[in-house]
Amino acid sequence: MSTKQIKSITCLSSQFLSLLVAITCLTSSAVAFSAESFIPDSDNTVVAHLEPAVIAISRRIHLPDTARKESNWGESERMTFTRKVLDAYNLAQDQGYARAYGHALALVNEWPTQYEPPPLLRIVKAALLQRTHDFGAARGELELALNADPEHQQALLMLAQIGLVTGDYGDVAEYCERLSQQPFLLAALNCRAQLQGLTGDGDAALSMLQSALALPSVSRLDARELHTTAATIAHRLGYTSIAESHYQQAFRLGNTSHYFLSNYAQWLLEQQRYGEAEDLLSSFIDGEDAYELMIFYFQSIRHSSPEMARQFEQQALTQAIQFLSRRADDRPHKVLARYALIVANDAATALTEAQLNWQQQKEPSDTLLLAQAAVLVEDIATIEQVRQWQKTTGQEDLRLDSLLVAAEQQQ
Amino acid sequence: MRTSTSLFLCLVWLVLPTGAYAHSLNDSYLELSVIEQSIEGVLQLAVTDLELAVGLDRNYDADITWGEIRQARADIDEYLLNRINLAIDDDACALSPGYYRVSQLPGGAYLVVDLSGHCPVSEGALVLAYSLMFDLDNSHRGVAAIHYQGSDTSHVFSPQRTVFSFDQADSVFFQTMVNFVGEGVWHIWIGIDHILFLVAMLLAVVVHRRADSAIASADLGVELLKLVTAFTVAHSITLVLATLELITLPVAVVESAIAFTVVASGVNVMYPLFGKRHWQFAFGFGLIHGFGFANVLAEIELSSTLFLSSLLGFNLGVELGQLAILLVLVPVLLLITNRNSIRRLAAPVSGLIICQLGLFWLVERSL
Repeated sequence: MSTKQIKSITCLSSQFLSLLVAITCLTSSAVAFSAESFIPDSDNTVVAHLEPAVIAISRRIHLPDTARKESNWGESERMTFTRKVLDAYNLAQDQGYARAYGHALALVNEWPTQYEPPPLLRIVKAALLQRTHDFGAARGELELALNADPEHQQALLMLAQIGLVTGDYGDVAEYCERLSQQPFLLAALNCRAQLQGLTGDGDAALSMLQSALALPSVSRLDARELHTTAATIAHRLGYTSIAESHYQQAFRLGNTSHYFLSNYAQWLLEQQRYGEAEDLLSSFIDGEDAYELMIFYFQSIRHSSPEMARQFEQQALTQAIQFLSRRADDRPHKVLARYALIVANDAATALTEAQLNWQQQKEPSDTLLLAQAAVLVEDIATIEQVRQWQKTTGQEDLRLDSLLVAAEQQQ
Repeated sequence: MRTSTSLFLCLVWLVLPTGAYAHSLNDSYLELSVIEQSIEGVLQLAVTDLELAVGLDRNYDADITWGEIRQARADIDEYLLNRINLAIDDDACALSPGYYRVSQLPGGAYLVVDLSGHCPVSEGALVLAYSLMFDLDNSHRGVAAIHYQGSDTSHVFSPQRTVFSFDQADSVFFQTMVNFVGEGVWHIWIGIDHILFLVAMLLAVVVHRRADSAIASADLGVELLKLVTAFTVAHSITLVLATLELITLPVAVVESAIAFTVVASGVNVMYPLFGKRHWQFAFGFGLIHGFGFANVLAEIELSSTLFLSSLLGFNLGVELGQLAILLVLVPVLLLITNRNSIRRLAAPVSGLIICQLGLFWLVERSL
């Protein structure tokens, strides 16, 4: 038996074992809902403080509502309902609160089946579904919206964005092209740049973005998005100063999305600028869904203050991850993979979760995560899968290149 | 995921969401244990979710006090009972909320509600329907851990999966069988009379090999195999018959008869009482030992639904335990009786010891 075969068998065994361990852990964590419970001393004890978003949703729910109870929805009721959905979505966007998104989706689902929903409603629904990784259903809604309006820019853009996440670059090219045929739109340009950045034409994308940013008509919001795209492409190409400049400008222009922050934080960590990463993340780790940022934050403070990192891990991070794991099939594979890789030093679990995540989404950070875990576990098959993906797409990522070279030397 | 490309379109209200990060902790945690017809459980539901569901904040100050929760108790109970339903074999179980407490989880403050109840039946498929919050929050999930008649399972409820059905029969069958395999192994190992009988029977075959030309190993192996198989088949027959209560014998009679088989097999070691009919006697005496195993099994309360798996498991365990003994014993016996002198000495000494022990049990059990 060759060394390669032995390694493959070892890898498979370790994957199987890690899967068993993961299943056991999940089962046991699902069974053991251990938390100290208590009966408050007095009726005046404040048990919980409500977030503004909850107050707003609660008021809406508990106020008398005619539209929702109408069995025969006329034009006016449907418009009222659509406005209500948009309000709920706006509230969720403003507050960034998970329950608000969940409430908006629950509301959208109340649309009576006998009426065709307007494209706007389908787009909101798609945005909400996309948020929970239900890419197939989101695509379905957007395609229905396009049936009603084939040139619907929002639907085309969102379909392109989903394709960029799932790695369906052929579809993305088509949607970007359809957008480009419409009156000049920076979003269409950004769409093309994103695609080029992921399919081996990063330098051309950067030039295009630089030219667009020089246009006098570029708004603040436009600039923010273009800088973000440029920063991530330069990051992958290893252009340190260009990446830094774009990251800084996008941040100054107010981009505080998790996507942006996690990319920027990763770049800072890769540059070993731990203090700056800590400063960047410290204001955002208390937010809902900030688990990946919490992991990067842990990574940044581990260097400056190991004791603080240990406390942060024990008191906040690990418990949150354990609870996230209880969602069984719905668990966030990417977060769990990153946690296993960075915090728990459990490469086998990281690989299992990263593989499951890669089945859903194939952004560069997903591919990198998969490769990192695979290299640590020496999973030759997965490394080969990533190598093939890179070859097929032409994806440029200096970090991935280094990993694959190291893996080849290992073999 | 890119977030706000749509801003370019001036649709200010609609921004692409941060899809890759949409994981919240607005879940509830439900533990339910169903033993026979009785239900015990605990539900943990976020106070925030209860605010949305029943409206706890009566004074609109954004703070939920313990008093406000207690005031809303009737509404909360009604809400829970309307949306958590349990049935076994299509018969609805009656659930009722008990004490309220509070816990702090990573997702915030949770109300902890004790649950108890009763089901009209205890056998059949368990169906748990859960629809808390789904109409108000599509991202809500109900994480349930269920213990049903000795079997554990779990399920995550979502708007698309509001009903969970669990037929414990299959999983419990195997789980019970595995448990009873252990019981069987344990009882053959601690059942010194059964072991001694087996040892005596094996010893007789080994020591009565012809002194001048030892029986070929293969023949000896076949002889031992026949003996063990006969014993196994025989005790399995009576174990099943007695457990099914098709034949019932007084325990004292069975135990004394087993002691007698030990005495007889001890004599057989010293003097070839059974001649070459080892397996035939093993079969006959095995029938008696089967009743003994059945007495042991009768001491363990069996649910009628798990009867077959228990019986199979127990019997399998007895065989495995027996096999383990043989694997150790046979090589040792062959080794120490390899020399004629030792064999000649081993027969009377070991036979005598076995006989004495058998007689002791016989007297003890007969009195």
